[in-house]
Parts: sequence; structure tokens; C-alpha cells
Amino acid sequence: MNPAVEIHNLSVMYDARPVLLGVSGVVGHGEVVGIVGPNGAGKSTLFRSLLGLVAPTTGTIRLLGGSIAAGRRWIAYLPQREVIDWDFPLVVSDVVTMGRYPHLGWGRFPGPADRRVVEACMDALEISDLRDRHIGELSGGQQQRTFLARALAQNARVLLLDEPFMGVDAATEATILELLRRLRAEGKAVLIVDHDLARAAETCDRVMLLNQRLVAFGPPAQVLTPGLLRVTYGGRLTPLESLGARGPGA
Amino acid sequence: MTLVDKMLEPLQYSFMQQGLIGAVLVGVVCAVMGSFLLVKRWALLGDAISHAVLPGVAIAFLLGLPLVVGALATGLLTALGIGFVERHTRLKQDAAMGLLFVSAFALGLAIISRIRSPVDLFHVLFGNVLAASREDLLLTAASGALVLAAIAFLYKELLLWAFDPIMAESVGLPVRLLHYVMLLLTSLTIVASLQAVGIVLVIAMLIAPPGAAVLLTDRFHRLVFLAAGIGVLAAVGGLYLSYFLDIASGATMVLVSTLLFAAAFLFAPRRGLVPRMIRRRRGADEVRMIHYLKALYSFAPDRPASPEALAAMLRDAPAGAAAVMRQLARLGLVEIAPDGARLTPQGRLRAAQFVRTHRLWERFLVDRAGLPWDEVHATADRIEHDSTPALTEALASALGPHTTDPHGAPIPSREGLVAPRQAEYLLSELRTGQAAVVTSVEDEDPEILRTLSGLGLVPGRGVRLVAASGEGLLVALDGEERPVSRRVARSVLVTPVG
Repeated sequence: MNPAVEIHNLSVMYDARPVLLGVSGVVGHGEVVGIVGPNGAGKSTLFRSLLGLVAPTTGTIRLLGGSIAAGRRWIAYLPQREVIDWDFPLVVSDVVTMGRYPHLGWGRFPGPADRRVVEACMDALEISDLRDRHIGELSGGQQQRTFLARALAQNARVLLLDEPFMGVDAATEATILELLRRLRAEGKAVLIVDHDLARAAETCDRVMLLNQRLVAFGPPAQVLTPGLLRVTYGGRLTPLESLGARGPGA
Repeated sequence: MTLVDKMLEPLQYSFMQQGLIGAVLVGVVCAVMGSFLLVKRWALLGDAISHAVLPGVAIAFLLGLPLVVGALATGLLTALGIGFVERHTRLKQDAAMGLLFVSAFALGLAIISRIRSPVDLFHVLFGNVLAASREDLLLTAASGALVLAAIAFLYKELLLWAFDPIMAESVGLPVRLLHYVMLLLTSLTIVASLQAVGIVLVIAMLIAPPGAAVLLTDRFHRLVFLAAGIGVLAAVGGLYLSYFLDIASGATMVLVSTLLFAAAFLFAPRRGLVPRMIRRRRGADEVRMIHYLKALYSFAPDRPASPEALAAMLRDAPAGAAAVMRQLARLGLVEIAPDGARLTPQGRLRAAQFVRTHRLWERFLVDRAGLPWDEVHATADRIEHDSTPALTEALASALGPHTTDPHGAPIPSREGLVAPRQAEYLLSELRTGQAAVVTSVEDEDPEILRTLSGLGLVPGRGVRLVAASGEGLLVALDGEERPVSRRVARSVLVTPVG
């Protein structure tokens, strides 16, 4: 079987300003990969490239062994909460149902089979009793779960999670961690941006240190070291210090 | 003549029949299209496109083309021009729109004024559905049907794109194409409505019905159907109004749709202004009744409370106090007699339960949350109103056995009972040289509470009155003599010892 994601020598420029330079890496099925780096390191651009929203200046990306265009139906993205219009007239089940849209042809509406998938995904994220709740009336954690349920309903093989733990309650954090374990067991590839290095060390199989270039990519114990983190964060030690004695390599 | 006859009367005229068909069509098409414009935040773009249709109508007339072709062409060109200006200058969308649509509109006016066309400017600007010809009606029906068919076919794609453009693009929807399709459909809708409401007024038919519907439902597909219903109501109602009052029909349709929006804004069950106010008012009423119940509770069971006394305690007007007493009497919590109000046994129980909740919260806030005792009264007041009986009991068992709140006041049991206590006296009532124990302090004034904790005059402390004068008292606390003002002394209750 082909790897889930293959990135080869990827560079992206915005107006001749480099954002990503020569990044390469392979993510396998059933692998949870953490992406760690300072603001402006190109984490979002990497996600946008994988989603086919920006074209690589050089290099190639292969999704499930084929082009992005061929595989895009199988890639799901968890948006940051700020970009969503929470006044939009939709309830929880409406948003989760959107996960089925990529699998429906033009002019087709979701059928009983799709509704069953939607139900199962809401159950998995424990939001079934919120199905008729307007999305603007949810807590931060419930909003996050709704969008995760949508990604699940899409039955994606590759999931891109942009800071899924940002501003969620402890119960939601536990649910997401549980979901990550389940996704791994089901053979999904998960790329996850997380600023909490200690949590990344626990949840991820491998960690990608990114600062325009790929600094390191490997198991947390080998990658989340003071030396490599210093290189990644350009000498600014904030996240390193916050890692404290609890972190790997310390 | 009955109302039904009256309503049927206009229908004997063929122009009214045609007008009604046109009105229904426009009501539905505008509302459905407008639902998407609303959630996509394209309302102003709709307005821009509608104004930009004018030069197209004029040019098409000059060239002998069908007016609809010209209207579509300039509508779309302007929409594209707005995007172009936005991308290639530092102007943002609102400025680009303002610039281009007024320019296009002016161009249209210029051409029409030059050619003195039989194109009736007033009709194009403000519409007149009653003057519609059979061909006009067919055009409206055809373009309306096209819009509705396209939206039905692209419903989920348009919805996904409107809600989450990033997901739409990443799963491979042709978002640029959808963008242009939306522009085209908006232009077509405006062309379809030209005859009925005209280009200046069409924006109201696009936005008001979905604007009202969004206050009535949380789900987009229901919003679309509701908006269509409201749109039809507005168009048909407007037409009737125009017939009976002899007012321009475009104007009445817009006014009725705005009226319907206003009705939803005011009376929508969950989001309307009035229901929200009533709910808030009810909440405030309830809080007020609780305050009065607790005030009555502080009177001895056999002593009636006059409205004046209650009002003074709660800094309310006597008339207000009397009104609340009547409310409480209707609920069976209070008995009103000529000499004042008394709690009924049921009222006493309810009041004791509120007092219990309040004092337990004070205990919690001081003992567990670590707040100073002078701050917790007001906080407990607020939490108390929202505490269910189950929460109160959970709080009680979490706190363990306690008989008093942090200020020494007794916490009633769940059944509303208070353990018998020794008689309490004011500190100033002690005889000179008499010793006592502080049992409780008045908890409403934070400043006095701070003074008391500074002095050490807190429940459980032993105190002896050394001397009393008009200005204040001199008391001994642990052998140390300290002056206490009359005002502060009034807040301290003691039980004499020995």
C-alpha cells in the first residue's frame, strides 16, 4: 500500500517570499504526526498545500499514492475556530452531514445510509444529544467535537487538525485524545499542530519540527530535544522552558 | 360585501391576475436567492448588481436586443469589475462596490436621458407589476425557474461553499465557478424582479424575507422555505395594499416585507425582542419576590410586616412592596391582614429554603473559595436565584455539618427549621461590665464587615462592655480595650455569658 502522504522537496513562495523551503517527509497509514514550530514556520502553509489550496513553487505532494486532485475527497481538515461564522443558521447535525457531501454526486442529497454514518459519528464524539443545537450555542469544546465529527463522517484517510486542543475543556481534550487512538487503530494518517510539547510527545508517533525548513522529523524522544527545539525556535526558549523537567530528553 | 368578496374583487381584472402571478414568482425567487446572499454576506453585492443593471437595459434598447441580455451583461460585468478593483488596488470590497455600482447606475441614467427612450425609467427603477405584459411575465417565470432549478441542483455545494469555503475548495468543488454561478443567478433574479419591484427596491425583497426567517429558525433549509413563504406573503400582500390604497405596488411590496421583518424582529418566539424582554422581566420579578420572602422571614413569625417597613428594608417604594405582597399572596406564600403581611407556613418554608441556599453559598465562598467575608453576601445573592434544590443539597453535603453562615446567622435545615438559639441582644444593650459572646453580625454592608474583622468582633469571640457614651462604646476584647462607633455596634449581636 502506498504511504498516506508523501512530500518531496516542497517549497512554497508567497510573492517571492519563501514560506516553506525544501520540506520532505512521508506519513504512513495509522500514524499520528505532530507538527511543531514557531508562528510563521509554515505550518498552515503546509496544510494548505496538502489541501491543494496553494500550489507548490517546487516539489511534489502525493496523496494516497496519487495526485492531490485524485485523493482530495479523502482528506479532511479541522479549521481553526476563528474562521467559522458561528451565526450561520445550521445545527450540529447539519454540520456533521456536510462530511458526507464529498461522497455525493452533483444534485444528490444525503440518504439513509449517510444519515446512519452521521449518527455514528455524532455518537463517537458524544454530541448526539446536541444534534438540534444551533452551532452558535455550543461551548468551545462542543464546537470542536462537531467539526471532528464532520471529519469523521467524511471517512477521511488523512486528517489535518490545526490546533484541535485550543481553548477546549478537559472533557473534550480527553475525547479528542481517545479519538486519535481510534483513528490510529483504524489506519488513518493524522497530522496535528499542537503547541503543547509535552502532550505532543505523548500523543504523536513522530514529530516534525518545522521552521520554513524541516529541522527534524522522527520519534518524539529523538526530536523533542533541547538542542533541536532551540534550532526550531531560533534561540527563543519559551516553549522549551515550558516543557520543563517533564519533557523527553530532559 | 364580505371580506372574501372583497379579496376576490381585484381578481376579476386580468391585470390583477397577471400581477398576482408575477408577485408570487418574484416573492419566491428573491427570497430563495436572498437566503444564500444573506448567509454568504453578499447582500450589498446584490444591491450593487441591481443598480448596475440599468445601463444594460438602456444599451440593449439602443441596440435592439432583448432587455434581459443587456441587464445580465452589465450586472455581471460590474460584479466582475468589483472583484478586479478589489484584487488590483488597495480598495476593499465595500469601496470597490460603492464606486462601481453608482458609476454604472449613472451611466444608465445618462444614456436614458439622452435617447428619450420609451423605456419607462420609473418602471425600471421602481417596478410596476400591474403593467406587466404577458411576455414580461413569461420572462420572469423563465428566469425565476432557471434560478430555482440551479439552486436546487447546487444546493449542497452552495451551502458548503457559503459556510466553509476552505473545505469546499479542499474537497475539490470548483469554487471559482460557484462564485460566478452565484453572480449569474443573482443577476438573473434581479432581471426577473425588474418588472415587479424595479432595480432600486429589489434588495429589500432579497434580504427582508430571509432576514425575518433567520430569526425564526436555526436551520438553513428551513430558512429557505420560510423565506419563500414570507416573500410570497409580502408580494401578494403588497399588491392588494397597492390595489386598495392606490399606492405604487413596488413600494407596498417592499413595505410589507419590511413590516414582516419587523414583526419577526419583535415577536419571534426565541430571538424576538419582546419575548426576550418578557423572559428577562419574569426573571427580575422572581428575584424581587425572593428578596421580599427573605425580608419577611427576618420578622418574628407572630409579627406582621407593613409594606412601609418592608420597603424600607429593601430600599423599594411602599407601593412596590404592596404589589409584591399581593403577588406572593396569590401564590399562597403570604397572608395579608390590615396590620400587615405574614408568611404562610408554606411561605415560611420557601423563604427558609432560600435563606438556606444563600447561607450555604456564603459558607462555601468563604471556607472553600477563600473569599473575604465582606464580599460574599452580594455574590451569594446572585448565585442563590439560580441554584436548584438538588444543587443546594449537594452543596450542603459537600460542606459537611454547619449550623451558621460566616456571619454567624443560622442555616435553616432542609425542612426550614432552625435550631433554638439563646436570646440575642445588641452589643449596646449589654450592661457596663457585662461579658458576652458575639453570635452574629449584620452582613449587608462590606465596609462595616471590614471594620468588624479589623476589630476582631467576629462570631464566637468573647467581648465585655467597658463603657458606653453617646458617640460609641468601649469594649474589651482579650483584655484589650477598643472603641466601637454606634453605627458599627448596631451590626453586632451577642449572647451574655455568666
